[in-house]
Amino acid sequence: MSDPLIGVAGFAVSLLLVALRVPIALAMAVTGVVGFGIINGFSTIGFILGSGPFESMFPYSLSVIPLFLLMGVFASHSRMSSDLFGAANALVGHLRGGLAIASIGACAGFGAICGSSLATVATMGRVALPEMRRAGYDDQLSASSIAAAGTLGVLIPPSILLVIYGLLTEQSIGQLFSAAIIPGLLATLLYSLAVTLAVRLRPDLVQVSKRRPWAERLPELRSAWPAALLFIAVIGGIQVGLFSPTEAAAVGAGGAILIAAIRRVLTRRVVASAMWETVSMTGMIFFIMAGAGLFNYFIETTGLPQFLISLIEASALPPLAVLFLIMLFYILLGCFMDALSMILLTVPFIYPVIVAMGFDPIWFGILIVTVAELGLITPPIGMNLFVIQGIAPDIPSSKIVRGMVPFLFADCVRLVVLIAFPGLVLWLPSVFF
Amino acid sequence: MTKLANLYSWTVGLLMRIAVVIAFVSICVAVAITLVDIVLRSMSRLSVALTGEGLTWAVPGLVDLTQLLVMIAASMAIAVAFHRGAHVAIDLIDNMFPPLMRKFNALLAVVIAVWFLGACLWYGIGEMQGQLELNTASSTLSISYLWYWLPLIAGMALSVLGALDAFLGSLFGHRPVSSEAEHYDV
Repeated sequence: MSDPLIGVAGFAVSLLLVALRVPIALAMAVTGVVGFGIINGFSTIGFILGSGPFESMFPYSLSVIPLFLLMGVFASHSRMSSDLFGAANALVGHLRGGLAIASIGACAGFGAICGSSLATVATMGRVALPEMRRAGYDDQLSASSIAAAGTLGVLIPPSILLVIYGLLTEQSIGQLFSAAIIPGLLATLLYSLAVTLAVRLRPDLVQVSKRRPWAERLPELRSAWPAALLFIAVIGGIQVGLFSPTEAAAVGAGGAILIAAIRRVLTRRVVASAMWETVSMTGMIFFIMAGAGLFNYFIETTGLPQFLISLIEASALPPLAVLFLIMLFYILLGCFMDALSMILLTVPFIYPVIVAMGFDPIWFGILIVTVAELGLITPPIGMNLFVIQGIAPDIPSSKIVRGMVPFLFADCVRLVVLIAFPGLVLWLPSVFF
Repeated sequence: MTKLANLYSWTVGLLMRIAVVIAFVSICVAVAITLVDIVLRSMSRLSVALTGEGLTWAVPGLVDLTQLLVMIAASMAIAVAFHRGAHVAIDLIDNMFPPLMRKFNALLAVVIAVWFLGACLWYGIGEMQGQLELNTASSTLSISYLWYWLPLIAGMALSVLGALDAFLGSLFGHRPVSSEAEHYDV
């Protein structure tokens, strides 16, 4: 068997182990080590087993991960989610479907200080879902709008997925963050349009709320300033070159803790909960990074990326057709894998192909996160769907899935727009960097 | 047998509580020293702007210290994630299997985890000894690499204990089966 074929077999074996419920990090690590042993002889695996985890966890650039996680966890606990929802509601709540649009806006705002999709859905779901149900919104629209908008947490910076993509491909995290701003705004706009269209087609989905006077709405708008300040300090600081990503993450974490302290929510219970959440997520991500490191080592040894490049060159397919196939591959894989593992497992052999075809790595980073978002809201393992159902177990999953259709359509439109107009992604990085 | 498993579980639980505190404190200290560094550097810049005098205030060896703290945090955190069943796993197909097959899959995951972590531990100790012989140290503060390796080795050993405990827990029923365990994702 040739080395690239061993690489393909290794990928298949890791998928099989994943299907048998072996943790993804372990599946990647074990496949990587055994595959490396098959190619180079098993006497050589001691070296990668001994030094691999250390090398994967040692780089200073990785320190950005626990710091951003800490920021997101404290942001979730500091009531900023309800402020953001209140502010968005004050702006658009009176429109037809306004509460659902407000939830989307609040998710976008929360994603801008949190960086995690599941945390965004879990936090905003507890705030916005009861409000929409109280206002007589149909469960289908209420649950699906939050589940879909939760995906903005992984796109709008600071995004943990973008940080990991940046570390994996040695791309600037600052550039990736600025590249994600316009696609994030576009996603917010398209999701809001999806709600508008859905309620136009089915007016029974919502009840229209009364328009309140500005005197009542202004205080709610003002209450979102801590979240806005935190976002400006973190992302603005990176964009204008004031902070490195690690420093910005420290500023964000410190700011989120300070806001929680000022609001007197830093109880012993909250700190303990934040501690377990931060540490568990840190462990999960670092172990995946270690597993992916070993898997990458194996994939590089097999020469699979070069083999794929030569195969594509020989097929004479136009680059856009190849990109389309890659996106399709990711959409299908996203139905069965979580976003982080999907990126870590496939980037080692897809990324060299993308670079060889002359596509911009920053642009591709945004595209890959966009398709990974799709995986979060598509059955059978759309994690956001599970989270929202965990918050409202009385809503049948079939109803939530049906409600996702307009949002999935909006995501596909966004993907096509981003592919057709790369400038939407690459303009801001060219301005700031 | 159950009593022994409970005792083991209690001991590992205690170790994990210590590990989570160490990891969390390390992350918080990393945040604190980075913020102090930003403040000191800003003051230096301000001083240059106001008095023209060039101060060079900064936290000495910030990168070395942050790397050490993150290494400690990550190593402990990996073990904690094993203990809590927080490592990402897909249970879509597993859920379709009968209970016995699911138990077998859980055992398979534990066997793979223990083999992999044990091998990393074994070869990691060898690698650490090699670094010690070479006397390698960090670039700014000259911290011996031993201090970077020790938390990793401790974390690997704790991870083995955590993975075994999670399995025993699901076997004897005092912990949720894998699909009901905690799940974190970005």
